[in-house]
Amino acid sequence: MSLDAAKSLLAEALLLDAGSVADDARIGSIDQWDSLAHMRLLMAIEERLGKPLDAETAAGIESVADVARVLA
Amino acid sequence: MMRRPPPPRPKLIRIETERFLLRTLMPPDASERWASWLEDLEVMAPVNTPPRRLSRPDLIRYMQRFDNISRVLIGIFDKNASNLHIGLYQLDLHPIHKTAKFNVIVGDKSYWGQKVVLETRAALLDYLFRNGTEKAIGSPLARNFPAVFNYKAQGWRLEGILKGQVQHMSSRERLDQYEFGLLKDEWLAIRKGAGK
Repeated sequence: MSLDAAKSLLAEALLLDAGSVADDARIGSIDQWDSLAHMRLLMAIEERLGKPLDAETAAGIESVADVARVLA
Repeated sequence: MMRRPPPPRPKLIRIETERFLLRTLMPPDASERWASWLEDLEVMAPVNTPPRRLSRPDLIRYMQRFDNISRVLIGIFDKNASNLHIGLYQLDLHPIHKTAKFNVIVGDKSYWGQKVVLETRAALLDYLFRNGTEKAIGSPLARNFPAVFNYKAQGWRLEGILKGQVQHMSSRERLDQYEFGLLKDEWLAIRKGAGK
């Protein structure tokens, strides 16, 4: 998945416009990235993957770059 | 002959944050409101506990299991809503190893996503590290995504993944659990960084 597509997915989980997510967005850098938004993000990733995330992969998702990597 | 130190005495905790009051739960806090969280699947599933109906006397008996020395039960109250009870912390404090194991439930779902845990746990960490604790521990289920987020966002270290550590409350599937840790010095560094 491209970085732009990952930003779009993250923005959807954070209920933001895609344009407001920076390339280097990560946990702590966006106020809207809270616990519920994180849950929405991981569930959206699982939906894209068509399977549950394993614990190792889920633990590593902390930034928009991680989202792109997991969905590559 | 060496004199034995006096036995530890229960400590009542009362801490205020910007939005919340944290204090030791007492028998008058046993309420229908609290009981309603325990029978709500959405609240209890993330902590892998089957929902069940408890009466007020049941809740009081439950509270009595906490000695407020090594097992501590603390309520979270919203100061801006007439000290409405919205959740609770269970802490297991090890007197020799000086660890504090955290468990938290925000029972009132209208507070989910409001950074209640980040704000209140920070205050508890300050308190515990000032009072002898040297390491904090958290062990959320890997599928408890909101809890995992809160540990990460607060700067806790993921120390390990315990594969198939516990059994699902109803399906009997084996569930993975994370082990998060936070040393006193790490927390002080986080606090110092936040103050810059």
